[in-house]
Amino acid sequence: MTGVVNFFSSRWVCCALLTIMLFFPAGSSALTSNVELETILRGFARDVPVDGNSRVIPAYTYLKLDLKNITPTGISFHGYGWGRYDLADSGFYDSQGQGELLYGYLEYHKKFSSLRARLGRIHVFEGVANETLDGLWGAGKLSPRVSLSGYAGQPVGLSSTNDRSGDSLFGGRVAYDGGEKYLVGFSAKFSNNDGNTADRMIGTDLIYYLPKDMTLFGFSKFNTDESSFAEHSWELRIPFEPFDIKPYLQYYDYDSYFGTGDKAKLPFQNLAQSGESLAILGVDSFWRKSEELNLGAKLKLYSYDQNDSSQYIALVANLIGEERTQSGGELGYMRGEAANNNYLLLRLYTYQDQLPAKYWVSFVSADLVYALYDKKINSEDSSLFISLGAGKHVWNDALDLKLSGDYSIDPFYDSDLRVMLSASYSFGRGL
Amino acid sequence: MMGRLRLLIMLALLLLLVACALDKSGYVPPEQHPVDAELPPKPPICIDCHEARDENINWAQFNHTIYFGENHRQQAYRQNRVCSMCHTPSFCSDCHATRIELKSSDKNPTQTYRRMPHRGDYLSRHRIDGRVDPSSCFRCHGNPKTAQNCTRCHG
Ligand code: HEC
Ligand code: HEC
Ligand code: HEC
Ligand code: HEC
Ligand code: HEC
Repeated sequence: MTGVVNFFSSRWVCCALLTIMLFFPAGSSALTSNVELETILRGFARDVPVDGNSRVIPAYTYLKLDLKNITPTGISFHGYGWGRYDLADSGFYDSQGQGELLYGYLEYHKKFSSLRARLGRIHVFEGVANETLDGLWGAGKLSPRVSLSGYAGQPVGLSSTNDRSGDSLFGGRVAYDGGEKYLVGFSAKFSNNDGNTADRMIGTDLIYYLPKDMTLFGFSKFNTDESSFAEHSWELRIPFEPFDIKPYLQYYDYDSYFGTGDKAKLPFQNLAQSGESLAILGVDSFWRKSEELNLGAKLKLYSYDQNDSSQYIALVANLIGEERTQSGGELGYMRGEAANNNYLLLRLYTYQDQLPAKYWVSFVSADLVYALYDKKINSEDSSLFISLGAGKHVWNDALDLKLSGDYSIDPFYDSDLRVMLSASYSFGRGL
Repeated sequence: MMGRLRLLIMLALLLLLVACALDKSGYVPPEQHPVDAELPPKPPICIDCHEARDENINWAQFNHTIYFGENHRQQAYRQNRVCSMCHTPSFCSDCHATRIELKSSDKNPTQTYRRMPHRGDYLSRHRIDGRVDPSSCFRCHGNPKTAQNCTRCHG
């Protein structure tokens, strides 16, 4: 078993994936395959405590592989992983080379049916679960109204604490679809680390359709170890063309929300013994003034059992053009009494797509993020971040080349410059 | 004990597969959003092309409005199949994964048109956000592997 683990978490993943790639010259094979390869080269300077170089030049490779219809019965393979190697050997990272297989699984998908099964490394979003596991996942419908899904295996997130013997994760969700009236689901998740309880959650979720196209969404989570509710999240969606308003109410009990045994590391570990609870009342509102101009406003009120209450308010405006062209800005203010500090946040950005052929580049991008703090952090009272970029699509958009530079003056760096070059190559299409 | 439990779970999963093989599916969204719909590469407002809802699907709730990038959990939890019509899981992994070294805005710095979390100098701001609402952080940093980058200062 440890052999498998080492394989998954070692830098060899990257090499292995590259080798697989060489064996799949896409297009020539009968199966429909989709391969995306992204190489990123970054460069920046850091004071590294070990002697030698302060320049860090990490090279990243991301490889995504989708092989569809490997067999006529509907089996496909999907994989995504990354590897990184510090070309400058700066000592900035724990080890010069690192990598991770984010997912990699075989999928069986029955045609014209809801039946799906996956085997391998899978990320599961389902009711109370937001987990990566090495194991099996299956989903389908028992009747047109009742759907069922389940998973079992070993949690990847806990693999770094000791080894994986005694680690387990399983759970599932069952849902009843009441057609145009409501949808209700029940889910559960149980995980162990080295034989000890890590996480035991059960939950229920609800969609309830109200008159005038209003919709109520609810989600509640119960920690069976602590025997109390960990979370309630309830949200009402009020469409009111061209407005869309979402008031919501959330409640968290820290002892049971963060009380997940070995899963909760610092800084969350202490919160599980704090006896604190948090209630959030918020509104997200969206005004589609026209297809070109979208406006948004957000208000969040935080109140605690012990701490001082806090508030966040923000306004956003987006000007939307053809393809990806967009410009916009955001202004927010956090009154963070709970953290004993406030900030003002300003963001301005633009992205200009499909530049005329006379320019060498296909798009340019710019971003500015400015934060002003009420109380100084590391004796600085603001952060300024500026990013400029440009890129070119070549070979019928199969290859994207991008160059960008980020500059930052903030409480951590007097003047930090980072450059990045990225090339992404894709056979086939995908988002 | 654990071994037996695991066996039981495996059996239950097998049962699930058999049950599903009997197959009474009803409506299933297509595997891929029809290519001939020619979606532009920007966040779609579904009801531009679809009605708000019918007996099979409620399109309006999937509208990618400005705040959809930070508030899609109620949809993703329940109807992941709809997301997978247009997104491969790798799209989600840029923000949700067990171990990624680069935050999404560092991996895709030129995609300024997206609302990615932690833009700019987040190390300073996170002290305030993290105090005000640590529950949101725990969704993505809530296990030893996703909190690995935090340990150099925490713990
Ligand atoms: C640019 C127009 C357009 C947009 C925007 C759009 N769609 Fe579609 N969609 C289509 C077309 C065209 C079809 C194929 C015709 C049909 O089945 O209605 C389709 C089909 C579908 C289907 C299959 C319909 C069926 O009856 O099985 C689903 C589900 C779907 N879309 C979901 C969505 C969701 C969710 C969104 C928003 C995130 C969305 N679509 C945005 C144009 C669009
Ligand atoms: C009809 C196709 C379609 C469907 C269905 C769909 N999306 Fe999207 N989504 C898109 C497109 C197109 C974009 C814009 C991609 C880009 O900016 O490069 C997008 C963007 C996003 C973003 C990024 C927002 C940002 O600002 O960074 C998130 C998050 C997202 N989708 C989540 C989901 C989830 C969760 C679901 C399922 C509940 C879903 N999507 C269903 C087409 C779809
Ligand atoms: C641009 C970054 C981004 C992308 C891409 C993205 N998400 Fe999210 N996701 C977020 C943020 C931010 C939250 C909110 C966490 C919070 O509650 O504050 C979130 C929350 C969630 C949650 C709730 C998690 C929990 O533990 O409660 C689910 C489920 C989810 N996303 C699913 C998806 C799926 C499925 C996709 C791909 C289709 C996706 N997300 C893509 C940023 C992203
Ligand atoms: C949608 C998932 C998501 C949510 C929600 C989220 N993070 Fe992150 N965060 C990431 C990812 C991915 C990274 C990059 C990988 C890493 O550093 O582990 C990251 C990186 C960071 C970093 C390092 C940033 C840097 O610039 O180097 C800090 C600090 C951080 N997160 C704090 C927080 C805090 C505090 C919260 C809650 C207010 C939070 N995060 C919520 C996904 C998330
Ligand atoms: C460069 C050092 C540094 C890194 C890296 C870092 N933090 Fe912090 N973090 C701090 C400091 C300093 C505070 C403020 C502590 C205080 O106010 O007592 C803080 C506060 C927090 C808080 C508020 C709760 C508390 O204990 O005060 C949370 C939550 C948090 N950090 C989460 C994270 C997460 C998640 C990551 C990794 C993704 C991370 N931090 C990475 C330095 C860091």
